[in-house]
Amino acid sequence: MPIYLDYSASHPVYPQVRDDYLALLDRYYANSASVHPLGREASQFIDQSRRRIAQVLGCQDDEIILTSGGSESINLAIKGYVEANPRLNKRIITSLGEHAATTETVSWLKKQGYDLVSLSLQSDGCVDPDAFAEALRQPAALISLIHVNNETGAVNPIEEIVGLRNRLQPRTAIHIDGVQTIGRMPFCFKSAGIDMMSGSGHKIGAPKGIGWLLIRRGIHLAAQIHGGGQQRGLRSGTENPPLAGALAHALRLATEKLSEQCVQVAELRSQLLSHLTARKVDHQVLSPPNAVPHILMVAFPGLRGETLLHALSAKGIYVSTGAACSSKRRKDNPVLQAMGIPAELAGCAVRISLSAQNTSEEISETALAIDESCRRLIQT
Amino acid sequence: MFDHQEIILARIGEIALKGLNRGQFERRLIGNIKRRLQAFGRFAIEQRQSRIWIVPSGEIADFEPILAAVTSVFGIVSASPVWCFGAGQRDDFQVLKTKAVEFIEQHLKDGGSFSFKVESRRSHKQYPLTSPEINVLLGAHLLQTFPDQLRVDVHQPDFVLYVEVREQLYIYNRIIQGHKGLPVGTGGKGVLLLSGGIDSPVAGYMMASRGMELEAVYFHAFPFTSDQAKEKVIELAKQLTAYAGRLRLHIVNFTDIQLTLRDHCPMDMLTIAMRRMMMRIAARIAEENGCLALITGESLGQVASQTLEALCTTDVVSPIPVFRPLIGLDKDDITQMARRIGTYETSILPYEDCCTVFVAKHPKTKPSLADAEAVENGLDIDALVASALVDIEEVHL
Repeated sequence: MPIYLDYSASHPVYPQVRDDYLALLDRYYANSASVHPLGREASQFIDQSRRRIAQVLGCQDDEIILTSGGSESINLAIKGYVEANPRLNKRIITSLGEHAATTETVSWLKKQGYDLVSLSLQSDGCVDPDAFAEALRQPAALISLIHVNNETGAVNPIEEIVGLRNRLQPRTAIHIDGVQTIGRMPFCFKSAGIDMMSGSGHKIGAPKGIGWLLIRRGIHLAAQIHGGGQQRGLRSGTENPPLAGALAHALRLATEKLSEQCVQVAELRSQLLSHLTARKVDHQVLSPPNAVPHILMVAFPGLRGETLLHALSAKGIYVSTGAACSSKRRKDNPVLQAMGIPAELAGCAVRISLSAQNTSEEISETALAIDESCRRLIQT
Repeated sequence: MFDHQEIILARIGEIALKGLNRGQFERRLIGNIKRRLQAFGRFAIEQRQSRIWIVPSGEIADFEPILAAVTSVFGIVSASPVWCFGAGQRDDFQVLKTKAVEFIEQHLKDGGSFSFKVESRRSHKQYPLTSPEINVLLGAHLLQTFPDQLRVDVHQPDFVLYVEVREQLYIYNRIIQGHKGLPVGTGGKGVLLLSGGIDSPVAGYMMASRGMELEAVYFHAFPFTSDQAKEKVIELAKQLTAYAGRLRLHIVNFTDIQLTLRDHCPMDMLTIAMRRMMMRIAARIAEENGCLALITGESLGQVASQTLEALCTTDVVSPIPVFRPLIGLDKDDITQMARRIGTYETSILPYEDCCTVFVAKHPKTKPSLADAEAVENGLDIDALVASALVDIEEVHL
């Protein structure tokens, strides 16, 4: 049996969600914009799914835009906001710890004349609140920050960031990349005090091809996809009732036993590290202490991350060397670099991302495989 | 209307200069073309008057991929899609005029106008008109038929209508350059050391262009190199078959040797030690497969292991000649060739090859043979080579 330790790259679809989704495909095939009863039924089902999603994410149902996934949501949030608010200062604050969906979007805006501030990271992988406060001395249109870092699991202090924004630049909007947040830690859009939040279905056990952008009432965006005017004109394109239903279902499953599951995952993580220590495997945890337990970036000095990844794959154990979306591009890991981790050590890192579906047996088998690989492959 | 048949006329170059062996070269060339065209249907292929005539036995919807396949067979200098007609009426000039008008009409379909000339050859000497007369009379007839679209330019025409009067009449206007060289299989067999980089596929192409049949060997060092790196090399070998014909790729599991060498040799001599092992293993594969040479993509001075001193240390371990067809070329020229033969985009995919896994910061650039032999002291070289030879995966392409 394969041992899957790459949940942050993609979470398998929950079997219950898959069954539900297949049934929904048969039931809601009509276009939700059609006026006949089948269309109306589809439309009502989407509304119902939206309400279920809103309940889990702590928002109003009209604050949800369903998208194709995290990248689209982030693009819509950042480009859509600055385009709809041209009078605001053309300045965007982000950090060096962002996912490519954010860094590439803001780089594109930079070419269009926007001023870009990329906050450096502290050694714990989070933005430095003092540097953030400094950046807020001047007005900015938008702050876009990742909540849970996809590579290290570091959790940015959103509450503190929101407090600083409210005090220093209350007109600046905050968008949070929450792709790794849901299912890893509690979250409530309303009480977070932010303006937008992006998320992705396939990271929480829904099928690929659906995500969301939450937009606080009163925040205006310009559509990035034009067409039939669905979703209040903000995201044209025929709506997808089965995917909306699957997302609502997966969100519930990912969050209903969250605290219990976090304890289980933390236990698995600490088991893995104890096994490695007991086996005297030289390793260095690069994830900071405040990281979510689900994401463990760990380096094995003397063994390139990519080599260990291949060695583990050959034994049916699947991990990543960094964000799966960019792991095919060979360059230094920018997030680890921004945390001040030497390039040589960063090159020896793998990301092990866990879920409550993993077992203790899998963890001890993984530790054994890592031990064997290190013994064989590291020069003594 | 007279019917015509669309066929391909291919021209041979160097082979025509061969003496008594010429028949052997031509037979091999025809065999190679036949094999290359198998995927496209059935063809009658014959050689007459220093040309090769490729006649499809059924309808062909698109001649372009067939032309591309024919022109990539070594030994072909150029090829043309040709209209062939007039069996029985070839002495009737009217037939030629009618078909030439039809041919031009097809090329005028997209509208516009162009300058042209007629260029004819007449090997059928009983034909009532001489070549210059055909040029003048047919040109005049076409000009009269298409007064608004055609104008004559005998120096730099946009369009040349070639006419050949042989046992039948042939007209065409395109001449597609081939890759020249000699038919694969007429120049013996060699083992190509294929790394996955830009150079080695080009080296294989060059030796195949001299008629050499190829076997290829790739040294796979999993998990230091990934399975994607292996897939990439298989893909490169597959791309080479477009020119070199069928080839067999021997994938040698090199990890244990690499680990042994890493633990045994000083870092600055590691690449040399590895390359000496690769040469030895490749030479054994050559021996087992009836190959008389090794082929590498080395170019003098390109990297530390390709200095003259380094090449000397690797050369001596091979009992058969090591051909390095790129030795005097610079990287830009090699890259251009790789682009031309279509291997470049695959070569630059970012996967490690085993020569780049353990690279010293300061490798020895001028190793002596004594240095190279000294680092192998204490290693059972024969046993290492033998262990590699029993762990080989063969891929037939």
